Amino acid sequence: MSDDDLLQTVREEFAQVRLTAPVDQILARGQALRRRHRLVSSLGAAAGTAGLAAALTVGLVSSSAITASAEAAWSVKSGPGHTVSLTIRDQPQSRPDGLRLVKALRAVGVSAVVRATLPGRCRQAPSSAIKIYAIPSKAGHHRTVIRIYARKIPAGSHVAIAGLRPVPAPNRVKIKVVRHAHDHGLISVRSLRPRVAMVTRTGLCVSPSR
Amino acid sequence: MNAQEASFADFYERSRDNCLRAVFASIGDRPAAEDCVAEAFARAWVSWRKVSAHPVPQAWVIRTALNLSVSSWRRRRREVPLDDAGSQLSSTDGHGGPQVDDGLDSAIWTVLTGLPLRQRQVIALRLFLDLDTASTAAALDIAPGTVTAHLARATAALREQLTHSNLREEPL
Repeated sequence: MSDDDLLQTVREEFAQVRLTAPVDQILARGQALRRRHRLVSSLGAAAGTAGLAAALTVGLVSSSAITASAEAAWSVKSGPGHTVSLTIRDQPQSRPDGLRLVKALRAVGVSAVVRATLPGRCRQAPSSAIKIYAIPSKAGHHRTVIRIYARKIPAGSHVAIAGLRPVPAPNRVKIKVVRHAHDHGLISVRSLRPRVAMVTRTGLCVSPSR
Repeated sequence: MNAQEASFADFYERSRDNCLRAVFASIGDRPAAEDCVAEAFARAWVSWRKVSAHPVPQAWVIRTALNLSVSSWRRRRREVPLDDAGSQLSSTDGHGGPQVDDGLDSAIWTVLTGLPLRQRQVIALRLFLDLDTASTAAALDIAPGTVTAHLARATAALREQLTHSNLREEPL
């Protein structure tokens, strides 16, 4: 077998692999990228101007002012193969808004509800439809990634998400907070413990989480 | 559809399957390859004026798709699975290693995915885009001599493994 024959054999094996996305979809995705680039660059310019102005103002009013920026409490992102990744950030500055979260998941084709707790009869078992991951952070604000494989969720089923209200951390550590130069206080560390389950039409509940 | 869109649409129709095959053979994960290639084509459309002037626009798309795949792996590598099934998934997810695809001949797939990543990339560009050594080197940002060496090793490995597997399957 010559090299050309060998390569041809391998090439023929991939003949059935085809990209089915129509060109209109690619053009629309490109337009969305362009819009995002324009938005980011215009926001960057605006933030630069505002930041300079704010820095000058803060410098004039008080040199001890502290500014903090908070990330969004959650984000939803569609991935390859109809995979949806929901990232929940454990941070004290902002907490997930359940209704908006449900709307965002519906927008990417996942039927979901946000509850205070999962159903009591929910069985803990590995699930191929939902996986849950943790991303530790040195700063202490951990992230939880809930990856939903939308194709594997049976018709009529929905995803139940719970634990989005902060609960005191198990060790009930108290930390010292200094808001202003002469204002000292103590608060309990409170953290999110997101939980997730798939609930079928018949009420069967399977949770892959802790 | 204006002239630019028509030109891009023509390029997309001609190249999309081969770009997907090359990226799929390189990273071994079909859904991830589809998403990365679609995103790479979308980026090619955003920069179409530049990409259309590229000597091999398909190579630009493949390079972008491979970079996107690496970025995706970097984002996911810090994730710690919180259930038993998740730990099994993470070992084959992203760049943990290619996954077996049911639609392909298992012998060829096993041999191809057994090659080191760079050899897979070189042979994928040669197989599906028919790029010469200089263009492959430019696309992967490596020296032409390295391309030749990788191609020779990959071809030798394919030949050896496929010949062996064919011999084993022949009746005595």
